[in-house]
Order: sequence, then C-alpha cells, then structure tokens
Amino acid sequence: MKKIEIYIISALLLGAVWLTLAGKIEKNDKELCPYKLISQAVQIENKITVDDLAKKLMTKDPSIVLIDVRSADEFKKFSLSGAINIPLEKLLADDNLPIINQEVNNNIFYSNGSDKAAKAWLICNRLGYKNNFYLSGGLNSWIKDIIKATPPEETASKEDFELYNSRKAASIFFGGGTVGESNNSSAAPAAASSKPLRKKESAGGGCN
Amino acid sequence: MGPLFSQGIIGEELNMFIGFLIGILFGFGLESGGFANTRKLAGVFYGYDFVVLKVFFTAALTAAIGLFLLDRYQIMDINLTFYPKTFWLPTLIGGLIMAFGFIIGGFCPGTSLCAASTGKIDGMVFVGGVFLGIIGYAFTSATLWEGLKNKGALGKVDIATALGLSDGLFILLVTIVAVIAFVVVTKIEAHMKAKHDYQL
Repeated sequence: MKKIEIYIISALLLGAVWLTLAGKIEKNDKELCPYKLISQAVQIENKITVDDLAKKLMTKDPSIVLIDVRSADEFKKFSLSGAINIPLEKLLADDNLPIINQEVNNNIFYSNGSDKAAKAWLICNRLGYKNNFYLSGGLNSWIKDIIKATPPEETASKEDFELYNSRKAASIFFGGGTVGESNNSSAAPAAASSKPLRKKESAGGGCN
Repeated sequence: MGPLFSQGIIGEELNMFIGFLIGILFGFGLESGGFANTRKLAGVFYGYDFVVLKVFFTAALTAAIGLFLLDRYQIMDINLTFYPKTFWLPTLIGGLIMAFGFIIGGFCPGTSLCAASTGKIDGMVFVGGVFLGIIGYAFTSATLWEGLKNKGALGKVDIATALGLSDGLFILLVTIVAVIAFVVVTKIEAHMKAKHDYQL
C-alpha cells in the first residue's frame, strides 16, 4: 500500500476510536430546532382560554390545579380562587417538582399576560413533564373578558350573545357582580340583582 | 448549532449556493482523480483498480466519523439530518439495476456527468440514459410501480440500532472492515495487474 493510504487509514481508525470513546451524550441536553420549538409552543392544545377555564372552575373540575407563576407579592394582591403560587424562578425547586411533574392533574399556569405562564409551560414541556397547560391571555384576559365582560353590539351574531351570556354568568359566579350592576342600564336590572349579590359574597371570600 | 439549513440559520438560496460550490469541488475532484474514465469504475469489478472503492469507502467513513463527532460535541444535531425510510425490496432491485449500470456503462451518475462535461461521448449517452430512466419512471410510477414502491417498509432504521450497538462502536467496526478490505483489494490489484497487464 502507498504511504498516503496508510496515513488515511490511520486517521480513519483514530477518528473511529475517538468516536467510540467519546460515548453517548444525554438526549435531553440537545438543542431543539427553533421551528419545532415554535410549532410546539403555538399548538392550541397547550393553552386554555379564559372561557374554558371559567367553565371548568364553575363545574368544579377536580383535575384542575391552578398555578400562579407571578411573584409572591403579586399573588397576595390578587389571584384566582384556589390557585397556588409557584413563582417562575422557583418552578424547578425540589418542593415544586412533584406538582409540575405528575400525570394525574391538569396544571394550568397563569400570569398577568401569557408570557410568564408560557415560559413555565415551555420549561415543563422541554423536560418532558405532561398535563401542563397555560392560560391564554392570563389574568388580563380573565379580567377583561370574564369579570368585566361587555355586551356585544346589537347586530352581533347569536354566538356572540351566547358567549356574552356565559361570560356574564361566570362573572357573577366569580364575584364580578359589579359588572352586572354597572351594566344594568338597559337590560332587566331586577332580574339580575337578586342572584349576583349572594354569589358575589361567597365567591368574594374565595378570592381573598 | 447545525445543521444550518434545516434550522433556518441559512436560507434556501445560500444553501443552494453552498451546494453548488461543493458540487464544483466534487466534480473537480472526480475529474482530477480520473474517475470520468470508465475503466476506473469498471476496474473494481474486474479486479485491476480499486481506487473507486477506496475513495468512496473513505469518504463515507470520513463523513460518518465527522458527523457523529460533531454530534457528540453538540456542534450539530444528527437527528435533524435527513435520511430516508427504508423499503428493502425496491432498494434491493434499484441497487441491482445501479450495479449492472455501473459495470455495463462504466459510470455512476456523478462520474457520468463529469465525463459528459469533459466531452466524452459515452458519458453523454449515459447521462441521456439516466434522464430517460428518470422521466420514464416519473410517468409510470403511479401506474406501474405503485405496488412495488412501498413493499418491504421498515421505517427509519439504521444498522447500529438494529444490532444493538452504539453508533461509535458500529463505525469503528466498519472502519476495521474497511482497513481489511483496503489491504485485501491492494493485493488483488497487484495480482491482477501482474497477470493481465491492464492499461487505463
């Protein structure tokens, strides 16, 4: 054999031995392709709308665990009824792992908007934790669409009115009775007034 | 970090351009190595010249070792590189057709393009045949070959996983086989040359 052939063969052998000795690396450490990451993040199944959440809470779905990923201070000022507080920075603390890495409950992360909650979901997703979701629009959307639900235009579709009615019911249920009162300008004030008052009191206690 | 294209780090145009440059270098290499000469490829089958075998074996191993080393050190994610699913029956038939084409024509698709571009008439005829085959298959694939096309589907498989070996160990074994093959073919080459006095 020619000298050059011997050199090439030696280099190949050396490379192959190096590769064998280099061993395997953990698959989890691998970078995820940005396209895959984005396509995973925007999948509808990962998030839950405020309307769906309202329905689940009103029917007292036992599988739901609400996780507030904002700071403890923000959590103290206002939070959803029954929520637990795991600030995003402490998401992977030892105490919190049994909550986020489980297969029994459906965890719903929420923050003020979608950002922090989506981050929490993303971290859990990359670690392979299941049954985690995040609240689309966060508390901002919860306040705007549920608690302060505004009636649709008169020309709006039937579905819009149905949605409004369900939101109004949820608003009353979760203690947003003030909305009912402030919007009483035109439609049946007497009919609305008796129910919300009672509900408002009971749910108001839950919020604190 | 890599691969660059499948992660959108470089666009399609740049990807094509890089491919074009690599193509030029590859063609230049093939031509300078004398691969556009039909006797070079046919020599593998007649036993008087194994350069083609040595070059392609070396190229395949260099690529395999390089890719997996890049993967090991997290410079490139090998899971994002493309390799097709295996359909063993059509692959076997296709392989046989290619092999007969190699021996009868003396070219593989790459070297035939090289030969054609250097003005070799046999190369041009071979390229014409390749195109006829491609067009013929394209127009009949839905009617004639639909059944065969998907026969023997094995999914995405690789030999290392099937044998339960690590990729590194498998590549080391293939390298050792390559070294043995290099030594053996060099001996065959010397023997055939002495016996028949082949001229390239």
